[in-house]
Amino acid sequence: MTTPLRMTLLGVVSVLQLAATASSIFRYESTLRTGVLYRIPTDAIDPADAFRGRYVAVQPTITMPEPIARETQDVLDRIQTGEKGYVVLTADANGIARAADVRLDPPTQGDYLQIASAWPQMRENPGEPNRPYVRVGYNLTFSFNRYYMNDAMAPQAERRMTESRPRNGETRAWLAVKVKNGLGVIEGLYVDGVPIEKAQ
Amino acid sequence: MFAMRREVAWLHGELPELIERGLLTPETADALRRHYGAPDRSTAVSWGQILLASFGALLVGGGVILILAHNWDDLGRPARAAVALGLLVLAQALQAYAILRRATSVPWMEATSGFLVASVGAAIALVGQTYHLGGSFEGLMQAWLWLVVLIPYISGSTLASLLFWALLLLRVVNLSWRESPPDPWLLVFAALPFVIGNVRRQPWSWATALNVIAAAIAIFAVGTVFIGHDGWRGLWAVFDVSFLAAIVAAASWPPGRESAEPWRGRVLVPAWLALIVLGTILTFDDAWRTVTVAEKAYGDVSVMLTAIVALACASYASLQAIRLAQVGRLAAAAAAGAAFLVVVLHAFSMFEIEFAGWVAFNLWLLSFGILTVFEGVRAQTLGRANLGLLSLGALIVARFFDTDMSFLGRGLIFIAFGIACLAVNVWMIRRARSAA
Repeated sequence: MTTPLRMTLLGVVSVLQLAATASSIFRYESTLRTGVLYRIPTDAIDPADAFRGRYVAVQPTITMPEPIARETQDVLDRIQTGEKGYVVLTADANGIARAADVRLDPPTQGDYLQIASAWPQMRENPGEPNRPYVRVGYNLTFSFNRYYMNDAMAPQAERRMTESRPRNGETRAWLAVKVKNGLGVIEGLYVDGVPIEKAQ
Repeated sequence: MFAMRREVAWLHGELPELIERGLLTPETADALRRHYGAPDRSTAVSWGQILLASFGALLVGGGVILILAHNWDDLGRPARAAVALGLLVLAQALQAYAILRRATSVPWMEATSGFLVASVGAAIALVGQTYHLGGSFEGLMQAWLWLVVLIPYISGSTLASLLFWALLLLRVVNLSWRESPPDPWLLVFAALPFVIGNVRRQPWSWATALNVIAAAIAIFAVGTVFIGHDGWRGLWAVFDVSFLAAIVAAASWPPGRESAEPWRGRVLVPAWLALIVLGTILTFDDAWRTVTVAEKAYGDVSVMLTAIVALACASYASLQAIRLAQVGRLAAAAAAGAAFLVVVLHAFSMFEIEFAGWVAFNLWLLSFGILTVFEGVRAQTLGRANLGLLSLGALIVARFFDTDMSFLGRGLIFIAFGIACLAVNVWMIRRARSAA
């Protein structure tokens, strides 16, 4: 291969490498700057990635409580079997994200996120021996499931989150997620309203 | 001429003695010196330089990734973006400098290419860390591989090529059973011509041997991992046997090049051994009972690509098997011919003619072992003869576990086989000594 050809190819590859990196940065930066903020409740543990460092593995979840309309139920069943699905977002008075609708196509209006998985949330039903568990809603989870932290801080953050969670109770941790054009980018992880970095 | 570095050095060392003995005139010796040129004294130094440069680039790249993985709180998002892009630009500039000013320096080309591959990974990882990108290890590896697949073509770097195959291997062995992306095969198709080009241009080179080994391992993993995920049961045997048979065929043809072209020997023995292991597994009837193709397999691109690659390998190996048989290389022909056998028998099993598969592979392993021993003894090649004995041993051990023979019968056959192995070895060693 001649030097001019090599340099041309290197130029093309370099532009692709830079464009891939820069376009990712631009996309996420744009969402963080101009996206709509939602709080999504989450659980967390603390693993590590060989290339990207230590992180808190989060599981942001929006629960759709019963009663669920028949059409919505059908959509949730299809998402559960592996079809792509989207949740249209709304927020309650505290800014906590709620599901306004679930659908198989991205909506043309409103904030939405792609659903990574959906499964029924069950609860014990002690009064009914023939039906020991009853469905109380559906849990929806998302692809953003890592909160990267400083090498030393991540284990403490996980401990802090575990301490903040009452036994058998609701988690008091949430992710602040900016949403724009179907893209969700994590802005921060909060425990009892305090950023995890300061809740040590 | 690279192939003859050692020979030229040897010839230069021999010439004074040949002149002294009167076998050559000084004029003829000078003519030989002019014809072959001066021996290359830089080889040993180059090896050291290349290894140091390659390891240096790898360590620097790996160190950068680890330092960035620490996750520096003090660095804001703009600073992190600058680090990611700056690192990439620095690595690209170094690569451009090497191509323009140091194109003949292997250490420079290897080090800058290796550093560029590592920098692309570091940049992707830093962006993922900064924006808390979820997703799996798979997503990171996919982006990394596509962004570096052309670097070996640009720089001719062995290190970049080896890193690519290593990353591909790392990616596919970490795929979960639910993931079945088609692009690893596309990556193989994109990267393989570089290795084939090396084999054609520099068949004598150690770098070619390393590239061929790395590519063979990664491709074997790609095919084997994918067919473990799908609805086409038994395709693993077709792919694995066809691929290994194709490697044996490629390394064995044309005959007589093994000593001059090190890549052949480096892949031939492992492929031969793996083929014996697979052939032994296929002598069991269980391996042929489960051959089924579910409807969903036809819509799975990765499964279809695996099947197409397997058929291409089988076709190539079958044609080479005929050529090898025509020149009397019967053991290699039998090894290459296993590809045809596995395809036909797999088709039989799909129509529930299962017994043909295990019966045929019992006969194949037996004949393959006998032919290999025969060729090894005839050519006085101890290693080859032992490979043949290994095939026969594998067959006997497999049958011991597969039949209800008595303990006494099994014991006697083991002892007889062991004595035969020792006798063949002793006989060959004595013949080699007497020949020397």
